[in-house]
Amino acid sequence: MKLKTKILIAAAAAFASTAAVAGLSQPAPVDVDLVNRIAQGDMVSAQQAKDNVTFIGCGIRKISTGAGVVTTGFCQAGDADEEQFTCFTQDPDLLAATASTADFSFITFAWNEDGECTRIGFSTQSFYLTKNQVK
Amino acid sequence: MKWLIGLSAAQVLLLVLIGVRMIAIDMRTEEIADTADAARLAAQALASQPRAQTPQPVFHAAASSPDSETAPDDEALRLIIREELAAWGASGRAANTGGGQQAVTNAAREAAKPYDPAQAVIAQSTFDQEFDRYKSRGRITDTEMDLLQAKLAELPPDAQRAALIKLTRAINNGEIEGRF
Repeated sequence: MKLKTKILIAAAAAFASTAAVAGLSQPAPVDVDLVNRIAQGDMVSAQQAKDNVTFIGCGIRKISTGAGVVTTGFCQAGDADEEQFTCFTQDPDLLAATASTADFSFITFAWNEDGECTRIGFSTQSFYLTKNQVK
Repeated sequence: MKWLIGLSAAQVLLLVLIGVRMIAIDMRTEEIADTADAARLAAQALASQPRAQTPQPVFHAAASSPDSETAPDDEALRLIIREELAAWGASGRAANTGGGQQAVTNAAREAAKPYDPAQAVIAQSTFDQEFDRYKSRGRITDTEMDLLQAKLAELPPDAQRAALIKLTRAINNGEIEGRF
């Protein structure tokens, strides 16, 4: 194959791969503010952080007991500055919110002085995805 | 000639027997009809009487109306009233509690089976022992966290919240290294 042909093919391939990942990219690194009692960040940025302390997520536990099913939700986050916090909730509305999380969600939560979650929010947007997820 | 006379006699005898049988059937039919009338009259009389045991203000007027040809069945009325009262009771409890959905959730949980005070004391003691063990060790594994939360779930609602605050505070203060 001639060199000129190879160059043309390589250029076409580079152009094609670039075109496939066009669009707004706006990652949200995890940040835990212990003073204002809020934490936020997207899970993709957390998972791809260069350190090994960054994380963010929410979960729920349903436990069947003799008195019925006990449901407890929680959110937790840790940032690159090694500031981390975990809050819990048994409020039905906030528990329902924890079910809104998706694989690549942006998560934000707040808490009170007792460590109870007072706000839980999720947002699933394309700009939280990275080039590695889009192919 | 003789056998004609015999046949005639037999014919007369059969006719007499048929007649007697018809009279008996008529009498039985009248007896049955009289019984049905009596039962209907008794039912109407019972429906028109005011109920002394369970007051039914909604349907009393309809039941006592002499012109009502379609008085509702008493048993069906009682069933309907019981269902409506049960539905009203459930919605009334939810509306009157100040905690909204949380109160409904807690009430439903408590209505399932009340917490035994003796068991609650044991559950609290067990949780406290486990918590102190993890705190002295300084860490808790994911499996241990699941087991600890299972013990926490056995506590009464107020004690659950207190235990969650205690556990969360220990994790956030760094006294216990672990994750929910």
